[in-house]
Amino acid sequence: MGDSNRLTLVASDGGKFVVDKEVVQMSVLLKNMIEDLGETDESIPIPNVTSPVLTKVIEFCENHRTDAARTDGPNVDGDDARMRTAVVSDWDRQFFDVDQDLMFEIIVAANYLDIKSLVDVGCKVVADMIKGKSPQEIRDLFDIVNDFSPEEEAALRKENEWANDR
Amino acid sequence: MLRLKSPMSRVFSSTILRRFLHMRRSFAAVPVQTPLSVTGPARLSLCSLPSEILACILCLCEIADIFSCSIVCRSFEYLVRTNIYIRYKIMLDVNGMVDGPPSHIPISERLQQLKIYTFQSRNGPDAFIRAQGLPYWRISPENKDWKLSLSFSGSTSYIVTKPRLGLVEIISPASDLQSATSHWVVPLKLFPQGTVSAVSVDIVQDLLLVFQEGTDSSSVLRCSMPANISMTIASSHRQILVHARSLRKPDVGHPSAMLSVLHTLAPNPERVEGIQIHKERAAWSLSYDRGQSHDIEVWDWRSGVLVWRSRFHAQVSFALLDDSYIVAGCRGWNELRLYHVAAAATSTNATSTAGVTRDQSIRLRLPAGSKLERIQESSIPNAPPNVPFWPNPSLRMIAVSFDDITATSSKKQYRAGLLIPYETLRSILAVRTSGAHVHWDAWGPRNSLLLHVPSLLHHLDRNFAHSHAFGSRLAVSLSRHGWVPGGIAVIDINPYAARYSRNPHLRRTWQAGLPRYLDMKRYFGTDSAALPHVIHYVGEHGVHGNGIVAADPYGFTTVSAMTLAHFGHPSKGIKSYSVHTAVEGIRRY
Repeated sequence: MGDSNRLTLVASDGGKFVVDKEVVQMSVLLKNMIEDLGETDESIPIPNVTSPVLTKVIEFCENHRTDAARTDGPNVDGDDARMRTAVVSDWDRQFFDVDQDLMFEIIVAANYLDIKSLVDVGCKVVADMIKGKSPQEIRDLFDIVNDFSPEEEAALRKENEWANDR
Repeated sequence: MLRLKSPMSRVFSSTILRRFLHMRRSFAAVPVQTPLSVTGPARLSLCSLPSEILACILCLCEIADIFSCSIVCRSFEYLVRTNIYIRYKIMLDVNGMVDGPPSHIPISERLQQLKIYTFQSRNGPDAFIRAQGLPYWRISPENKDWKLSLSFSGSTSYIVTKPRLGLVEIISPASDLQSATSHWVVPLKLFPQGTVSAVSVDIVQDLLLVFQEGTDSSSVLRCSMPANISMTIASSHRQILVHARSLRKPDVGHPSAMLSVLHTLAPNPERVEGIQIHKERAAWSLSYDRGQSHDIEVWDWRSGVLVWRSRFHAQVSFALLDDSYIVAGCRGWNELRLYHVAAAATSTNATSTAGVTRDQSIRLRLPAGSKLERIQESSIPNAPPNVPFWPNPSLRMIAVSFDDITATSSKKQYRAGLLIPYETLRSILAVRTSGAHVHWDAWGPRNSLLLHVPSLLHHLDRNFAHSHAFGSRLAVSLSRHGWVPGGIAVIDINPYAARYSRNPHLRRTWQAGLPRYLDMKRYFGTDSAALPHVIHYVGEHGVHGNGIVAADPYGFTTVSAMTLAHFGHPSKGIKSYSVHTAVEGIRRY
């Protein structure tokens, strides 16, 4: 029997990660799994998530392990929770300062592991990348091929132009 | 490999298994559309994200960005056109709404209700459903003594005091399209200590505040005074007692209130006005010395602590901005002042020996030469449970009326209305510190909406004084005189409503109720306003006579009365209308 507060996660490529149980429990999927397993020495396989991605996911969870307690603090200035949550912290921004490939893999892994805060931050980071860009800029940024005919594109533009008229 | 702990675990394990399988499926379903995915199926791009994540990303974008994405490629266009969350998000923004609190209402139902709401608010008076259950009283000698007031909290409610019948009736328009109007009746005999002078409620918090004149014994005084305030008041002095009760069970104190009775501070107040409730904050103004001086008091009704207080030597009006700031101003001032009212830090200051200290404030100048008339009370939208959607609190505004002397072309003074988005005030607070003076040109012309009615406004001034905003909308009753028809104009400062209204596909329906000869933007002089807004006109169905028009969460409510006793003096900032003849009825459109 090893340290009862630590667990071993095994990535799809066999990489092993020893992590605090508290940190692992930020994943709803793993939390339920641990409850099912009870006390065990078994390592938990994480199929679909590779070592580099799992490293990042664990890094995020380690950093955000105390968040739940922090949000209980008094609401000192203003009261618009929705506006506040729209902001991505500097740490989170740095965390996602990686290749697009890795960024999307982290988001998909977080979705799979059911780590809500990581999915939220990831989505916000991508949303920030999209904000204020023209369709062509979005295509260039994310390497997307335009599969519309010019006529179709013009029709869509016309239909939606009211929203752009600032 | 999995060692099961108990039979129950099987259930969990199978859930996990399903999730694994689901995940495999969604991986398999990744459309291989981008030429970049040549390196193998594991390679991810924006297009290949699972659609629920893509929808989540787009829901965090603004409408313009969502539409930009729909032009990027076919798969995005399909997603934007068909994904229910994105459709819902677009409709919420266009209507100045936000999603309601977490509830059992499925997304499809919320979207459906939002569609109905949109149709009703866009298609003129015929589409407005008159809410059931709002009261209507025939004018008679029996209701001559009734008093009507509005209550400003998370929502808008109406309070009718019926002294001879010994009760207070509280009427709250439905908080969603399917509910009925809520009614509460509170017997006045629950407050035997003296005359009830005002009542206010917050439905969401189940809070009933009853203001009562009384000369209270010092024993009650001692136990209910906040700990940090030491002040002796002779027991013979008259005070206003504020009872914090539960609306559903008015015979007992509110369960969240530490003190069931709050005492206003200075002795011998005459009137209590402008009561507003926002979460734990409750604020009101009190007049003294035959209206010569006025105090604004801001309380934390839960802990029973007076948070902030300031004395003014002219008729004052104010609005709660959020839980830390109020905007206040005296009649005749050329400015508005923003005061910080956060607890603890200022409470000792505000109530020091003299009882009053004026806080440092940020001063916002009005146009040169103009004189403040009043700051309208308003509600800060706070959603009750189980509503599908709700007015966006961050789009709310402060409505101000002032005399615009510069616009005087004859001997008449003209009343102008100023709608200041909450965002504008927040951004001033973010960069200015107390003591700052902000010139009109630095904040007004681009970041607020000035309503101005040349030559025909001598009726609008009254009407404006009886109009109250909710969320991004203000409903104003129009004059019935001259070539100007009666009816209601709804002014919406939600920028997306403004853009949406210019959508050529919608233009015809939007203006259905608008008479051909009346250009609302010209009428209000907002032709060249920098702040995006839309004004739509709700036909002839307006206020009967001269009454109150208050925007509420799902439209607006009008209260008609044949004559208001204080009709001739809207300038006095009276918020408790003594109805001369009778309260005729409350209608919801």
